[in-house]
Amino acid sequence: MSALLLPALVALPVVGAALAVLAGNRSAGNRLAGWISGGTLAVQTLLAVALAVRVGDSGAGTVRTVLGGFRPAVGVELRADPLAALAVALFAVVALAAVWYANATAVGGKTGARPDALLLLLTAGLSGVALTADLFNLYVVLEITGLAAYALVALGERGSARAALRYLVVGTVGASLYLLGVAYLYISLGQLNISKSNEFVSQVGLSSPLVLTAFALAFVGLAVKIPLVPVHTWLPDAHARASVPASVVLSALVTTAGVYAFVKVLYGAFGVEFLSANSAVGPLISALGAASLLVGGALALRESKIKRVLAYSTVSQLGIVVVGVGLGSRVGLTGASVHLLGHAVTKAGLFFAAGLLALAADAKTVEEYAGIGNRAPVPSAAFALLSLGMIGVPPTVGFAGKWYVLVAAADAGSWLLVAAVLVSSLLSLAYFGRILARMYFAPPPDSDRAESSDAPTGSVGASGDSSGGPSGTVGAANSVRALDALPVVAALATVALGLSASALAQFLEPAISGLLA
Amino acid sequence: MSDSDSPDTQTAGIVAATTSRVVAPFAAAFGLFTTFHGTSSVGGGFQGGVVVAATVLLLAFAVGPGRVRAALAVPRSPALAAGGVLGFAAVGVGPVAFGGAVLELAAYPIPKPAVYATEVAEVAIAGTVSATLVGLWFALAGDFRA
Repeated sequence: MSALLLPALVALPVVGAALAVLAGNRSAGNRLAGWISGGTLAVQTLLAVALAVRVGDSGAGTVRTVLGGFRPAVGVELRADPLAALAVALFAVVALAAVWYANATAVGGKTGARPDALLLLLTAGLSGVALTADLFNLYVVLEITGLAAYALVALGERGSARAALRYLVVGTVGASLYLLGVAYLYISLGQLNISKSNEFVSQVGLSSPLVLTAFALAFVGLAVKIPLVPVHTWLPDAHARASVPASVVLSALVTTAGVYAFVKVLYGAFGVEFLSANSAVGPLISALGAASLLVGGALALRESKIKRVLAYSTVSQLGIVVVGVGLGSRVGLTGASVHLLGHAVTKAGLFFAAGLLALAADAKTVEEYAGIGNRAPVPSAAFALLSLGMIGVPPTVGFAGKWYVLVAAADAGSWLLVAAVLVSSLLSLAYFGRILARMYFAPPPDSDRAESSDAPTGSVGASGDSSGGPSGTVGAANSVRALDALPVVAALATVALGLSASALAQFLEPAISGLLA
Repeated sequence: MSDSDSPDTQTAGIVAATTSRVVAPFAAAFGLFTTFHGTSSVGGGFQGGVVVAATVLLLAFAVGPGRVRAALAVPRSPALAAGGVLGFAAVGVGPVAFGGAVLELAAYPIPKPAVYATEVAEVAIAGTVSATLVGLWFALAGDFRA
């Protein structure tokens, strides 16, 4: 059973996707496709929990499987540490929530193009990123993730095809650069296993031009996927024009997988000795992270559409994670991991809340959020709580992650980084505060519209995202109202993770030690 | 060039059409050869599937997309693509039933298991690749159902 667990976590969503395509291909098979996707992801969640338990129990903190019974250097190895196990569980849960949301609001209803199979393929790719221990396979799973993400973006609102094409071009260039970097490493090392690369790199020479070139190519390629400033420009359009469930998985999961891939390549393949031998690399990474968090925060301040604010906030928050990654210390990596997982939960909830507010009150801009706190109290309250988590107010997980990164930056004596993280918190307070102030303290724009929006069924499906949905019927209204649970659960999870942050850090400890070994 | 305004019935000239009809069976056979020969020489499901798909597209150019779509049930190509994925998954998981690891194809209790099991996987890949390419091409050619 244990030999099957890791392959199943990658293969199960692919099989589910194929079944969903088969079901959706028949006339009136759409409902069936939704059930298949939901069921597959529910099983995937259970498997991920089983993996987390197994990883927590094992003494070494890792579970490994080599496919086909080959030696690790020849065969393809899958490997799970606590961070990978939590990431896989996170991917499965958020994708399950996205499938539920997509089916309840009938995303893509008019065109007949449905996101179920794509969400499953995306989950397979994301789980592969978390579990693979092979540099070339990392490229393959990143591309599976990317292709599913491009198609998901294209299913969105008006203008999404253009955003998807841009995302495709930029993303493919990034992936190709990464592949080129892997090719350079393969030339010098003669093998592709990530944990083995570590020792081979020191034999070749930590500062040899070949190794440095390989790192530069892989870094730039993955910076596109993360994304870091200045190669973030594809993100706001892609994330904001996609449908709500697609925005959720893109902003919460795909970026998380990008950062995780970078951590794997930097610490797994190149190793922490590479950072100490090339003293400029770590500060360079942290500096780019700091640039991302400042630029992302400043741009979020200028945006008027909620989804674009959230998209730029993703750039900013991932900047904090990358600052922690570049510091190369135990505390820094712990902070990066905690903030990475915490950001994913919080941002997923925020996008769900934004989607539900758009459905309930047809509000999509900061202007239109005026007085929405009274009209749609549940999603508004969840949005407010999640915003506080994003700003980093204790006791949310956003505070815990930022705190670890701040401590790590102070330990390293990089006061500029400390200042950057603090300024970014101020920026996020500014751009979320602006929204929260309008939600609760501004009067509704005109009372006529507010009253008509109060009708329980009339406004369901009014948003462009859900056009073609079965609006107006009581059943549809109930199924959409049940979606309110999604941002609420995310908000509660944000607080719960924040309260148990030290336990989380302790659970992740073997993973951090493995990365720094 | 064409005898109608509808792109569905557009055909190539008589020379090109006849040549395509003559070449198509050989091209398809070469595609299958490439698919089946993947285990012992260059080729495999990806290349073979592309050649098979190219044959379908060649015919579509020669006799018009409409006739090929009807004759080959192109709108059902997503089913073939999904079936290929399931076939590959089945071949990959199969060894577990015989006490092997996932993808340990040598564990199958048949003569030359690694060769023949790989052969089945190659055919599954070829099905997915060709169905995807054909489906995409016909979608671009104006039928968004496949």
